[in-house]
Amino acid sequence: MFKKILIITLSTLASILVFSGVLSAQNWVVSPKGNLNSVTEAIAKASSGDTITITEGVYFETGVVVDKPLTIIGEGKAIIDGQEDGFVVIVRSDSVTLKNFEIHNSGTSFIDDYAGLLVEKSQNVVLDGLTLADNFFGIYLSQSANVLIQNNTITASGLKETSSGNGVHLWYSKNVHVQNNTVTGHRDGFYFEFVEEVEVVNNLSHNNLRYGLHFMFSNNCSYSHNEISNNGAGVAVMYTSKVKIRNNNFKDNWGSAAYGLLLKEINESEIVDNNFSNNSVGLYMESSNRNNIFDNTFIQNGWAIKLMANSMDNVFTDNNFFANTFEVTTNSKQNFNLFEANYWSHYEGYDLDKDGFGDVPHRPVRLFSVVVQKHPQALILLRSTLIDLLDATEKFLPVITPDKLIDAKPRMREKL
Amino acid sequence: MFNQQFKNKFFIALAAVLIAVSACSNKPHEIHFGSDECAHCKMVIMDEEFATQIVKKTGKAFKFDSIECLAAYTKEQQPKATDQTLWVPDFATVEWVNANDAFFVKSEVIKSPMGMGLLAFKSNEAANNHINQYPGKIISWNELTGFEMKSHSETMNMMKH
Repeated sequence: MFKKILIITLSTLASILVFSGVLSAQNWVVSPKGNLNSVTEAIAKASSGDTITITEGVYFETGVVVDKPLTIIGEGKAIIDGQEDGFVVIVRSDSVTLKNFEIHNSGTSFIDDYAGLLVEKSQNVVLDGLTLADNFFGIYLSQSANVLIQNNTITASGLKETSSGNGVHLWYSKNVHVQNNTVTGHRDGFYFEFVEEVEVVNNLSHNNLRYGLHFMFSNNCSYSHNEISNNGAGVAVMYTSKVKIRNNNFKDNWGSAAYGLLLKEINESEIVDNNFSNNSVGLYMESSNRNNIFDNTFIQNGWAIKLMANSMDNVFTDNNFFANTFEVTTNSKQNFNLFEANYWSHYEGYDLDKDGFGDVPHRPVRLFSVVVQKHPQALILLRSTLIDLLDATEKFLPVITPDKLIDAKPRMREKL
Repeated sequence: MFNQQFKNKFFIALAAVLIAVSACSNKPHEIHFGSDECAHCKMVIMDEEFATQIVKKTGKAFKFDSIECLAAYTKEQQPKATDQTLWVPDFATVEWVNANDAFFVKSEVIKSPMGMGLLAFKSNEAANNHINQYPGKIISWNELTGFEMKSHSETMNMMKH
């Protein structure tokens, strides 16, 4: 009984403390023509837990450091303009929320990674509805954890690769949710290095100078429902295990070094339900092992899949291949991967037993694709009759193409 | 306007230049930033101050996005050192420097493309100037090729939370 009363008293006391904390939180209003006309000054005056409202207007401030738990909210079109001098806003405190304002014009540098918004060694940070325009790096997280990055629009007009940083750059960070953001015009749209447990959902990354998405050394992350299109070199991800890549749209990445999705040393990962369309190369795999690739659709790519021989034990099932110039190409006669129950629009077999699967195996590697792999200039002969003839002969008597790279159970109809 | 003779002279001069350029076969090639791929990691090469290359005696160039990739590639391939030249950029001026004559720095603050912070300098003095300004240390080419690309667990341990 006594114990119960003690608990009740303690919890009441605790809640009084919490509520009084909330009640005492103050709201500071910054406006261009008011008494308080600088965000830096407002932060200096505010105490932990306070809210700062920035009203419509342009604030020319650089190196605005948020060094205590604060909520900063923009009202109307509130812009903090860094005038191309160093960092614009820097968060160096836990429990900070930044919402609905704009950050423009960080500096650029070869040595320092200047960003519109830098979050450094902080936890429990929310970045919501911000607009970042013409910064070197957009949002930059360094050694931070438990961060929510959502509904932000990040644009840059960097014309040269060297004068442009990444849109959302995560470095040594953990447990970050990145959702509903749009990134365009940066070097890499999303760039993650040494991060863990990051979820990237429903973002749009287009027209960036190099990669739409790029990560390395970042295990246990998931990427879903993102659209990544029209970037200089598509998407490249490397040196990582246990990644989930689901329901993404990789499209319109054209160029000699452009890939819908390039995997280099990606292991034990899932690539499921993605759409690869109109890329020079849909999916490229090098030194990548034990991955499951299923339920994906490959439409109208130059090469649907380029599978390098140093990739092993990957399983390709239930994928649909429509109208790709080359379905699969490889650089070896060996194959240590499994292809089964895919739909191939190039398949010319029959299904006499009516079980829905072709009775003769499909060979997705054309003779000509092997030739092109060795001599890229030969591509000019693509539509010639001679090549068609050679391809047809090779199908019956495989000599050059890897005889083990077959789909023994090709679907007669697309997998729905 | 320009007469035919001038045009001819121009083309002869151009041909001479081309021949002269192609004759120096171990000279560094031009790197097309934003479109050339790294021969080791497949990434598109972006930064002048990090990009490196190997030029074979035959004149063929293998281009890399970083010193890390150049080192890893030479270690993997183990080709004879005599039939090729390794070129690295001086970090301060982005001039090409023969890797044999270069001084290397492992920086603690500058982020190179593969994350290990490896920089090259054309002189010992330039390298020392740099580490006086930014934390880092001078390392030898042999030490540098001894590095493995960082394993993930190692780097996560470096996180200071």
